[in-house]
Amino acid sequence: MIHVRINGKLLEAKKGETVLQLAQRNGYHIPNLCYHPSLKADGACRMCLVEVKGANAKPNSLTTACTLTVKEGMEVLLDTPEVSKHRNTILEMLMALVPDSPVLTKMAEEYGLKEIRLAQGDEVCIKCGLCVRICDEVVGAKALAMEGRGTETTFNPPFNEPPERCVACTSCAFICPVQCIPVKKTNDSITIWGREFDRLKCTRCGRALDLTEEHMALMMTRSSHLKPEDLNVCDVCSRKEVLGTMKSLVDGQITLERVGK
Amino acid sequence: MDLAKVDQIVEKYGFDKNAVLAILQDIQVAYNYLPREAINKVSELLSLPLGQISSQATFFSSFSLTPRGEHIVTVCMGTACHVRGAPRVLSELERELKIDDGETTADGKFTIETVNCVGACALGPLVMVNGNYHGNIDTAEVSTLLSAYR
Ligand code: SF4
Ligand code: SF4
Ligand code: FES
Ligand code: FES
Repeated sequence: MIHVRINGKLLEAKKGETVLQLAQRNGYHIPNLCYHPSLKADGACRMCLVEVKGANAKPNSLTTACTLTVKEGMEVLLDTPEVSKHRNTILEMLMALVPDSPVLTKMAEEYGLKEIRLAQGDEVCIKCGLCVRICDEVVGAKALAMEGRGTETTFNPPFNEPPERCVACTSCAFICPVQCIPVKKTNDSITIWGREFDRLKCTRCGRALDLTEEHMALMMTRSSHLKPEDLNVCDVCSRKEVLGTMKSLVDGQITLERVGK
Repeated sequence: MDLAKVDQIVEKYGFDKNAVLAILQDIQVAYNYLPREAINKVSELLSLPLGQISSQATFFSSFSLTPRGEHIVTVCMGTACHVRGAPRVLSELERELKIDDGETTADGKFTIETVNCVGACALGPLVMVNGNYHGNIDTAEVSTLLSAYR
């Protein structure tokens, strides 16, 4: 066990976990915009700043909690004046870049940031990179790209054209912390990144699924035991099937051995 | 567009997925810019997602995604050249060639590009034409410099 203090309270940390994970596990809130438990930490947004003492930390060192691995004897302070000063500067820069985000506005209220002194941009993306990372690391479609550099960096499909490798899983839109990736859904189609996909229909009842042919194909290449029937039946129908099986079991019409067949 | 040279270049690097940067550099030399078709072809030949190539092709300012002129006029806008009058030299070039930074003349002869410091600060303001250094350039010398390539 590793011992770490957060705001003076002694906590037991797991080897290899980050300060952000430890804090969250113990009910502390550290603001973050580019962290997601299923992705590698990237330290892109800098909102999760904390102050570190002990365990060979330099005096008054500020660092990102999402990339900081716990060490024996570490002391972490979450809300010092230093932390809040720098965090507000970062937030101010983000809000100058993306002025109309409800998510950022709410954060500004929470942390007492009153005024944006920088020139206002007209972007919607805070350049956190989560969309590209989830599409690469979790979905495996690798449909998006980080392009350009510095302040001109963009996160979108290659050359900002309708992405060939996209499967319309909508994970990127879901994970985007400022919800700036539009998804249009109709009963028949899903449109994302300027490309329209047909929605598959439940093979039992015909209800539209949140699934495309392309998404199903990708999932099946990624896990060999998946079969189309595992995916192309809607929730209602698969629940009915499970209930039906359970009922037959209870009624004694079938035995447990037969369930698997 | 003839993409045979792309095939040759990718083959020369043994279809190595780690050689994207070198491949792009060679393509830029062969075509004078990075044609979109060539980038797609590299992605196909290396079986790499297009995004892994576009991210590199758009990161480095030495790559151009649009066709460039026969002669590339590069103006250094680094700090040393800047204080020695690079902005005036750039405006003069833009006026002479009737194009802006980053553009190519209609006859396809010249492209103006800017860079930040090429490591010859003592020679500033500095203009390169096709990679040849011309130091201590004065606005009055711009048209003479260009006439050598016209
Ligand atoms: S919707 Fe397309 S781009 Fe977005 S995560 Fe899924 S596959 Fe990637
Ligand atoms: S689109 Fe959203 S998820 Fe992607 S980089 Fe921008 S803010 Fe982050
Ligand atoms: S959450 Fe740590 S840098 Fe974004
Ligand atoms: S600033 Fe122009 S060469 Fe260094």
